[in-house]
Amino acid sequence: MSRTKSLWVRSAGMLLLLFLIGNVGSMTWRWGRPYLLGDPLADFPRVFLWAWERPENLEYLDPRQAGVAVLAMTLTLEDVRVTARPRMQPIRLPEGICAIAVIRIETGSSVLHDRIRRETIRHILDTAAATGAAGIQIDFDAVASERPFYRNLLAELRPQLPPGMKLSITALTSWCLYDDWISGLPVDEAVPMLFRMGAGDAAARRLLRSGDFRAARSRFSIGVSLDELPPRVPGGRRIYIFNPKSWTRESVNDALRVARELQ
Amino acid sequence: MKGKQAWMMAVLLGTLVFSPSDLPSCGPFFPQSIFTTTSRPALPLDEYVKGRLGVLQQTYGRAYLLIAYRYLSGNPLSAPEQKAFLASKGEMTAQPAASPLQEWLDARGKVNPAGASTKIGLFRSWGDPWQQFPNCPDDAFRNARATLEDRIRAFGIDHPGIRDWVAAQDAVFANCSAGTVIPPAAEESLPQPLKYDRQYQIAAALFYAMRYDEAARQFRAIAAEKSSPWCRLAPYLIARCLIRQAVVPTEYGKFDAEILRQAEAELQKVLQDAAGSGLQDGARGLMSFVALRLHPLDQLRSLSARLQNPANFADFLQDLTDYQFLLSGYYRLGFTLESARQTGDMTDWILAGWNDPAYSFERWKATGNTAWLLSTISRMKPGDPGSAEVIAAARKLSPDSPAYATAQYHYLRLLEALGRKDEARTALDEILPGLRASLATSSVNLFLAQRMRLARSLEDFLQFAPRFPAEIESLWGLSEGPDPLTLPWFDTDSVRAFDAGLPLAQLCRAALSKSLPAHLHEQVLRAAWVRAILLSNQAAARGLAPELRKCFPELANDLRAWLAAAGPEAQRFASAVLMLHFPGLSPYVHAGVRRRNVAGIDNFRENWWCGFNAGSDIADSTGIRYNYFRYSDPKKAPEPAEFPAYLGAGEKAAFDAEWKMLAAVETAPNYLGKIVLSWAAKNPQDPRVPEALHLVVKATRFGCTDDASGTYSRKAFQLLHGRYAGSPWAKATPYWYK
Repeated sequence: MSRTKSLWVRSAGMLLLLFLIGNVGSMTWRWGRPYLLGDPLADFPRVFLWAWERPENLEYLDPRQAGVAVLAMTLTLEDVRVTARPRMQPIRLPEGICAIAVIRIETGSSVLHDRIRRETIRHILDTAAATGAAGIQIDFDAVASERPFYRNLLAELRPQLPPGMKLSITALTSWCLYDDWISGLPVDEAVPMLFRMGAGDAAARRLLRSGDFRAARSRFSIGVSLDELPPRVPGGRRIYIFNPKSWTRESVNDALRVARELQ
Repeated sequence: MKGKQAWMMAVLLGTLVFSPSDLPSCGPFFPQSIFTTTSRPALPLDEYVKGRLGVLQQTYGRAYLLIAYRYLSGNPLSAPEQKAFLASKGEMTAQPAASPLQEWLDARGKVNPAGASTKIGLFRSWGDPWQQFPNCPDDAFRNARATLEDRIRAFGIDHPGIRDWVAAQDAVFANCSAGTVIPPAAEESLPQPLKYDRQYQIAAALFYAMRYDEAARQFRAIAAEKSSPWCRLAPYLIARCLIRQAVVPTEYGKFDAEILRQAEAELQKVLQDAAGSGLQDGARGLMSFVALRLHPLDQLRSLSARLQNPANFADFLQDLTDYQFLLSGYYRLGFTLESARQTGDMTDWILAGWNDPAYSFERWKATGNTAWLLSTISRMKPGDPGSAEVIAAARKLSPDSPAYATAQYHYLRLLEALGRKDEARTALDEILPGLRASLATSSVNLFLAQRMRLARSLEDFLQFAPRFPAEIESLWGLSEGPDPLTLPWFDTDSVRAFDAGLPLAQLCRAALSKSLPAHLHEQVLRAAWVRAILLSNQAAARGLAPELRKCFPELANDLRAWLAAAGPEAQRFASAVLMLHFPGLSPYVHAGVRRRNVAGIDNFRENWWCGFNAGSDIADSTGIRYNYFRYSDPKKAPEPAEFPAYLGAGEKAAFDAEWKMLAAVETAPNYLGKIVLSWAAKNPQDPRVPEALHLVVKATRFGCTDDASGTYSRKAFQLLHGRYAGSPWAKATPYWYK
């Protein structure tokens, strides 16, 4: 074998080896990252479809490909009472699906006192028990004055949840960037919502080009909307996907493709 | 040093003590000026429901069109109907309703305080853990409370049967959210009325436990017991059992038609029972519920007829709700829009009247109804068959007619389209004072837009370009100035005329005119000056300098330097430095409420303008960015310029020539960066250069940038840190921006 030929073979071998190492490293990072970084929901699917208050049929969804986060309850907190409005639209889910019950909290200009907090927790626990979900996710865009209420609510709720039940919250992108008040909350994950961000949009996009969210719990997952996809997100995240319309086979396939691309 | 530490401590403490407590974490939501509403009349709605319809828009929701039809066909809404409509839109405060559940708990707590905290849910799942339905309605708690109070009056609160009654009722409501709890049969020792009550409680418990067959059997037995106080109510409840059975455990929008038909038969009996008059309202409501599903088209026909005539509060509210349900869900309910149109003239007008002027004309001729006249003229084009007749009829309408404003608006529109602009202007000028006095701002703005298009001169144009917003959608993020509703602003058509219609000479005249209010005058002035600079028209720019200095005294030093600059390049550099110092300067006039100051960085990136060239985008008054100008999207055909009517051919040609030059101007950070870098290369000793380079980098951070901006940022940064490394501007510029 000539010297030149040997050089070629060795170079090709080296390239192949690098390629293999790169691939194995990438796969390890992709699938092992949640475990390596201690994601409490590491055993959960890497993709969740949000099913909002509209008729949904997701029977065809492969439980190995995605879970479903179902809006199960909307709680309106007022001065004197908590009005609970459970999901009234049907949803069909396949056997064996990993389902998370989403509880949306809305407030007016109410004073949120202890009794309201206790009643809210009771509704959340009832919903968790009634649905048999693997986890619950609280969707509450708490304004600054509501944060102490929310913090206390989570602190009280956490120990009352059944063992093993995961606690997730949705988070405004600003909470995960410059307005981090969520670090230290007793939650398993905070899902940065990368859509309908208003003026925060530019800041979030800029950050996502190279950086990451501040709060540790917000580094495991992200929330995107099918009609407003971010061009780029940090890799290896669990992706929650919102669809402004009812899910169809086509939009589910789109969502799974999007999730693959974003991960 | 100690003093400094004390200051810092004071600031820190002050921050802790005076930290804001109620800041929105969402947003910001930019104030959106709405000059004319399109999906509904402007708020508040009370004028509209009284028949002051203003200029009707075909894009209004169906309920609003229904109201318009009523007035236009001579059937005004009655006072209860007006109230009902306002209530349905949340414009009339409902009585602060105490929760019927709480009232029940309070009432039963008087008998048995120990159990007063009984947990009662209002919703129940029918098997699917994710989906629930409202099982125990408010009326159930009201009825229970009223009955309890009645029995207490009859037997006394200490009667053992009363305590027993409450325990049984607790069992009934225990079924509301889950499980099956049936009260035991009444003891023989109880007084007969309480025994009858128990029979009813057992049936109700079965009903709430979703054992509808058994509940219906129990209610049939009660109906057969003529001495029971519940016998007249029982048939109504049998119907409810059947309805629940038919609709609850089925898929979305589906129902068991056979069982619903049985319910319908039961309800017929209730309605025919003259003695059961107290139930007839409820029965009619249920009958309507059944009919909507079993006979949707017949029900639509019936609703269409009913809604054309005055009704009471409750009936109107329910009928309106049902009507909208049918029109929005016709495809699910198995009928077509075509068949819906045939259910009545009003429905036909709402669904189709606005789409086809020929059909509308035909209907107007056949019915003589003004509603059809308006839908005809609204879509009519000059030369359409019958246009002369329609215009003549429209002109005959009196100013008191609810159709007057719409008819006038479209009559003037047709005159304008026919080129009879002088005639249109004269007619509009005659009626405008009256319209201003009688119409809501939203409608007045349509006439003002029309009048602006018909302007005879620049001054005339400037008089009608500003308008008061009909509504401001959000006041969040509005940090300066008075309430924007009290000030006139430019609407988008005005802005397009300024930005994509007026040649520089006109813009400069507008900038020096005294016709505009101060805040809009400032906008036009700075746009004219920047545009003059971009077009390299130093004479025009210099002509604006005194006014610019007067309105923006903070510009004085930079203006002086620019005016003193000798030669085109020096002038260009001096003007670039000026614009770098004042990020709020822009070649555009903006719609709605916008930033007013020229100095300082705007937190929401309204700094250093976006270019006119392809791909650039402009934020509108909502903060939403969109491609705006006619050359903005190379894939789309250029939009026509918005020339005001008075412009002559020469002025239009001048604008077109200028526009081609402007289209080549890059976004501000690039445009300014290029000038500064070029000057810096030739004049390295100019002491203004380091600061200018710093500002170029800053502009690429906070201004409107594109893919090329990073190059200017990097070059300015490298030059600053290479040639002027020791300057304070280099220290103030730690990064450049991609």
